Amino acid sequence: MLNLLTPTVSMQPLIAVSSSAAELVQKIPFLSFITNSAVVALVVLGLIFWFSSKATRNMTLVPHKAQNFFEFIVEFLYGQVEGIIGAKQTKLAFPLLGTLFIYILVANWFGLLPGVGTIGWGPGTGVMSISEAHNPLLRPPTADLNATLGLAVSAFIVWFYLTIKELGVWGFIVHTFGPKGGLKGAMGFIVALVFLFVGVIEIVSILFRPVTLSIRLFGNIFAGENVLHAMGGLGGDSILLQTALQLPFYFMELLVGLLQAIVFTLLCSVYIQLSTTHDDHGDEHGAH
Amino acid sequence: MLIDWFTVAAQALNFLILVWLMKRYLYQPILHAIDARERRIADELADADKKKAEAKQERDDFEQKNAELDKQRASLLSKATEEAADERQRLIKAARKDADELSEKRATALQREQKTLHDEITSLAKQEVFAIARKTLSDLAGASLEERMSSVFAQRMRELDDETKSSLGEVLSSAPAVVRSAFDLPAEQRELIQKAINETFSADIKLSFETTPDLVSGIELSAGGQKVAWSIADYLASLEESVEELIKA
Repeated sequence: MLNLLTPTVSMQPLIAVSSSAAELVQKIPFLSFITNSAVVALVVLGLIFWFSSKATRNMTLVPHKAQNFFEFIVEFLYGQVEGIIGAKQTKLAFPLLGTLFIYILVANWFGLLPGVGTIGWGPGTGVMSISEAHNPLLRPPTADLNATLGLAVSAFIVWFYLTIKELGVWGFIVHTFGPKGGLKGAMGFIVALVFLFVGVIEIVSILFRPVTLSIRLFGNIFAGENVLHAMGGLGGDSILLQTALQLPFYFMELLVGLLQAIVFTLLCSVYIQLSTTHDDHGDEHGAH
Repeated sequence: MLIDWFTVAAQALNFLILVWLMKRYLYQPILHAIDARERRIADELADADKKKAEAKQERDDFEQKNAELDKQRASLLSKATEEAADERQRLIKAARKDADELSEKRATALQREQKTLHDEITSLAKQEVFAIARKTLSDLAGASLEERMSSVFAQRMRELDDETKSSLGEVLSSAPAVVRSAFDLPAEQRELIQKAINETFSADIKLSFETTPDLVSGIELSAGGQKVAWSIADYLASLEESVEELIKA
């Protein structure tokens, strides 16, 4: 039976989903990155770029529909980001943060399209019929830890660039390890030691940010796919029952997809804001 | 769970390419468009404020001019009202004068017409009265009355005053005398009249007798432009003259 709605989990190379192609992949290892999620990532990239270029192709003073839609999105995101990291950093960081939100949102919702994650190869039950797609043809990149880790690493690289650009290497070191409070003498020395220790903890925290970001996003979307899969499984052979059981969770996954895009973007914004804020502008730095 | 660092790098590169594409083809054009629109709106708002200020200035000027025009109009209106009132009084006076004159003329004309009418009525009434009287007397007149009239005429002749008798005597002696009557006088009456005249003037006066119906009734003696008459026509003529004088008076 061809299961259209139930997603499956697989991170096998796309070419490797066919047993006959697996041998070829083993011989040409650098093709292994062409996975089903990588294909969807390219499709998502193409879709976003196509719509964006269409919206900005013939821009008019009175915006047309596509221009008006993207102006609304960009203006809204710009305002939100500017409210968190300030006008100066927004000019530099907005391309990263805006793209993170749009890309993650489109990728999350792309995974909810019928057929994504449900058409592929699995245990056969007849001609053109499988009981479960163990190796789906397409699957959302945010359900692939490789893709979410790629996003988190990209955000980390940009964060580091913006931080060094704003504070400098020495400024970043002082910002991270430097004692605060202006105490002198023995007490100042003790406080400096404490802040040095806190700085080490801060460095560990910073290094773990890509891990937490990627796993959080991956975990939520992956879990959502599994929930939909499980609900579909409860329906037995009845497509109607499968659909009815999946439908509430389908809408919940729409909300989760939006929420995860917001969370990922918001956390990146906060990280940038925390590290690019000078010490003389507040004591909230210790919050992280 | 499989982490393929080559795939991770490919996904990161894929994402960074998207960031660059989005920055190049979406964010920059849209943010520039928004900035341009905001600048244009700000310029238009500034221009609108400027035009608003100009409009306010023009409105103030207009209101000031309007107030001045209102003041001038009120002044002109007041002056025109006064002039109109004066002209009205003047016209009323003139109209009243004209009306008085016309009324007077009308009264005069009415009076004249009334008098004319009165005169015409009086004249007509007089003519009618005398015509009726003449007709009545004419209808009543006859030979017997004529005989009586002859007798009275003879007696009157005898009773003439001396002056009349003297002047008439001279005329009768030098000019032919004619006795007129309304009816033919019988011989006896003619003799009676002849006798009375002869006795009155102590002369044998030759008389000729004529019949004149206009006399209505009576006898008339005329000679040399003088006349002695006693007839109803003569009475009526005398009465008519008296009435005429009375009406004229």
